[in-house]
Amino acid sequence: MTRKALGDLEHQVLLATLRLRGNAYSVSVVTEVEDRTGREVAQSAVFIALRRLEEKGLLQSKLHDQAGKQGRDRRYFEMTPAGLEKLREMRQALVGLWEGLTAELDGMP
Amino acid sequence: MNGFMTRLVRWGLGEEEAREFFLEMDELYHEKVGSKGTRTAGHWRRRELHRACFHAVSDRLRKAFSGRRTVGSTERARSRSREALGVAFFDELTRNLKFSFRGMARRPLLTGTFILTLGLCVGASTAVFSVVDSILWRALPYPDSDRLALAVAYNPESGIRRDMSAVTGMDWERVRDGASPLRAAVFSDWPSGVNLSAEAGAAFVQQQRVGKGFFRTLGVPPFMGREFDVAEDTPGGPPAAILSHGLWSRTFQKDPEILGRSIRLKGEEHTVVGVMAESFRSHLDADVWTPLQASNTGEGGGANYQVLVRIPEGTLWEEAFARVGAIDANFSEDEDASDRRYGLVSFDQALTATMRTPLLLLLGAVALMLLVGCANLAGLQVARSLARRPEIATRQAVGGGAGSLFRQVLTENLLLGFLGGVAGLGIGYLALGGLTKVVSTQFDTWQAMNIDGRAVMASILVTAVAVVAFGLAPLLQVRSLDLRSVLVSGYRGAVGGGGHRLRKALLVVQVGLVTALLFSAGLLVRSYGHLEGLEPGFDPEGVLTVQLSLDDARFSTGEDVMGFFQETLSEIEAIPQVNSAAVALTLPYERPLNFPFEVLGASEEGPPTVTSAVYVTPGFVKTLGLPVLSGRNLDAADAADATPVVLANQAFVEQYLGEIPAVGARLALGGNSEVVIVGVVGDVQQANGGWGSGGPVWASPTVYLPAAQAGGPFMQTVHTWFTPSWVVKGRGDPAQWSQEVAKAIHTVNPDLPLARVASLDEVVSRALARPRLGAAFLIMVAGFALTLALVGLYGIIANEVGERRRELGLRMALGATPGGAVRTVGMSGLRLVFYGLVLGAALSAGVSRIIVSVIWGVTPFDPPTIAMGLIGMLALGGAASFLPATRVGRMDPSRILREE
Repeated sequence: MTRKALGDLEHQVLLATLRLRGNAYSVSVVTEVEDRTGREVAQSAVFIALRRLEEKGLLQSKLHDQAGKQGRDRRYFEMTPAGLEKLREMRQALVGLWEGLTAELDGMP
Repeated sequence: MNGFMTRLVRWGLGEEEAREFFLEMDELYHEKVGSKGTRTAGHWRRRELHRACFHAVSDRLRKAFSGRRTVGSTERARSRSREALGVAFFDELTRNLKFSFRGMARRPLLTGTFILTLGLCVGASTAVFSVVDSILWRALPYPDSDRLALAVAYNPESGIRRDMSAVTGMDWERVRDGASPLRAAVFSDWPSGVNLSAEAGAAFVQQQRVGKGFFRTLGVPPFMGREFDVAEDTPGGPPAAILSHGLWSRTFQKDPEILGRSIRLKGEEHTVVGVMAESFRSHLDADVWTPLQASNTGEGGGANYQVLVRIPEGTLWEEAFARVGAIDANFSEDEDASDRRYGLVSFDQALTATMRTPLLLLLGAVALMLLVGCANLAGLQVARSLARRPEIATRQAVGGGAGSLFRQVLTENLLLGFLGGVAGLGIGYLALGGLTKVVSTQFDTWQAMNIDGRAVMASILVTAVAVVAFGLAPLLQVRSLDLRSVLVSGYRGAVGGGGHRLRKALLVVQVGLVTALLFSAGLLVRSYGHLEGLEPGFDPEGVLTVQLSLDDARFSTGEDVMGFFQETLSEIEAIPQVNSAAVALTLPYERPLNFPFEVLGASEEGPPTVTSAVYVTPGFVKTLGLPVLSGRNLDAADAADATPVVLANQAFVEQYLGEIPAVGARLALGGNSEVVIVGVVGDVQQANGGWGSGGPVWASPTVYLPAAQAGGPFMQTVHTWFTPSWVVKGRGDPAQWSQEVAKAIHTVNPDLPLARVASLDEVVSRALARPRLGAAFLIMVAGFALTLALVGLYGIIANEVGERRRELGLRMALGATPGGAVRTVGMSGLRLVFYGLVLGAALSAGVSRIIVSVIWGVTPFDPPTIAMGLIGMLALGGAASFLPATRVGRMDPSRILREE
């Protein structure tokens, strides 16, 4: 498993993939991320990120016959155990950082 | 634009992935159309395409950068990385180039030396190759020039000599009548200057005399008009001329009406029948052609003609040779007396026969220099790779594969080779300018000399060979590196036995090559020294020479010529600075007339033999300061109607008269006229007329005839070949009164152009220019190669001192004297020089076989040359070895040992 930290987009793509539970491909991931964050992301960036995460062993993909438009094959991504572990690691790191900051951020004394 | 971006995305992602991407992008677009409308979705699509370009291309580059080592690579990932291989290659190349540039910039001195060395070697060889190529190897500028040949007469026992292609008028007639269907034409290969009178004034122009059909045989008809016809080419026929394009343009302003017009050439009217094209070149660089009017008497009685033959399409060379060989070449009644045959020599080889050896020698010298350069560069590279061993070992230890190292070193060599090659072309281009000027004074350079495709190809080849040669050594080093020993022993201790041995072997080769070069240069210098040191036999001090062409209708009789001589000489002698003046057919150090003669009244009458013959006016002996050894000088009393007399020189007396007393001896000159020797004068050096000694100048047996007794027909014939010289001895620098002399001649005849005005010193200097050029060139080449080898030796020893610091320090600490340590190191250098000398001696023995044909007055086993070479190499090699070795003596053993 890689010890390298993930980029923001990769992080978001991993989370969206987890949310989509087996229905993750570039279109659904883009829609999910844009809906959840309210910001536009480049489809190409997501497309490449999915494959890069697969290379890193955090996702795995499967071709579904004739799932796409006009009956073409479509590649769906899902989490690998390593990917889940990575997300846990990142959550742990971020939560650690977030701890005790609620007051400052929400303007409470 | 969209198409281009689509292609970029495809390139970035790969075909398969790109197709998937575009499908999914289409899907999202349709979703966006549904949710946000066509307009917004359209904007999005355009933006997305731009972003896709960027992401796809950077993704591909990222993959290329991270190499093929993808973590958890699936089959898909592997195939993708194969696609990226092309990128990876360029990427690695860029990286290697960057690395090489940085490495070169870090060592500017080494890099500069490297590029300059290669540049000089490649430049010199390119320039010399261009010259040699243009003279020896480029096809003659005539259609199917490989079908042109010269018909020659030869003796089967001695074989065909390419430099002896002249035949007689009888030979020409036999070949002409017997060689059909081969086309043949006769011409004179003797360049001669003639006088042209035009409205713009008198001019001295170069004439070539050719027979009818000459241009048709060459394959180049006149650009305007026609060739000479039968009538014009018959003795006594109407005078006609064909102009070169240059002369037509310069003197006649490209007059389109020139054909049929009359021009005044050689003192009489000639009808212009043709003009040659601008592109036409002939090896004699003629301005005008006149009919040869070949015959088998007079000029044609001797071997003064060349017979050009064109072998027709479809006829093999062998068939043509057999056809010519079948013609009977024997004129003698006695069949056994002479066994002559006719044969063919290819035209270009005949033209370059005398230049081949000297030019190939020059080319060989630069080739040796190039080899020394390559060996030197290889040595440098080995030294560098030895120095870089720890770095390379480290890189290999951390996983840099041998392949990538190999490519890195190769890139570096190719870059150095490329830069050196470019520098070489630049240097070659500059050198060629100078070289052309020097060479064209010594060789017939009628073809343009430039760095053309062939020369560029040759230099690319040479550079490539050089790159391979010097690149190979360090590559072997990389391959054979023993990581552990390098890393364990650290930066100092690694004993690169193989590398050092290789470097030393390269140095031995260099010393060997340099020795051969120095040996050749030494022999050429000694030969030139011999020629320079020959006793000229006259005093050139303050002697001016002026040439005038008398191949002219105004000087057709003996009286015309003598009248002109006497008038001009009395005008010249009236100049206050002038002491004496005379006219001679040829000057010392120039080629004299060859003349057949027999000694009359000798006890055994041998066959007719040949002597040099010069007609002179009585003042000649005094003007040149020749000693009269016995008898008397010529004087005014030796007139046309007096007893025919001659002066003979010492060499003539020694070679031909033997026991016969010289003064009073009788000769039959030129077959019939009987003359008496009235005096013997000292020898002078004269250029070689193709017989006797092989040297360029020698004291040839010579007779001096009084001009007054030479006779009209004789003069007319010799004046078509030779341009007589006025020799004038005066006080002070001849340059100061040469104008006066020219004026004096023009007082007598204002319509005669001066062919050449030069001091006698210049004439002598010009005669020895070719050997001087060869010697100077070889000194330069050998000197450069020597410098390279010495620098290489110095580097090796300096390196050895650095690497053996600890060992030498330890030795000195244990009681070795500093002097002893210096000797140990220095002697290791001298030993290399010694091995090099042994190799050099073997090479020199080979070289001497070739060089023997261009040296005179010295044998190849010339003790002074060999001694100088040996002592010089040992002294210089010793200096280059011991100079760096003295550093050992200055070492402080205790400090060195503390460093541990």
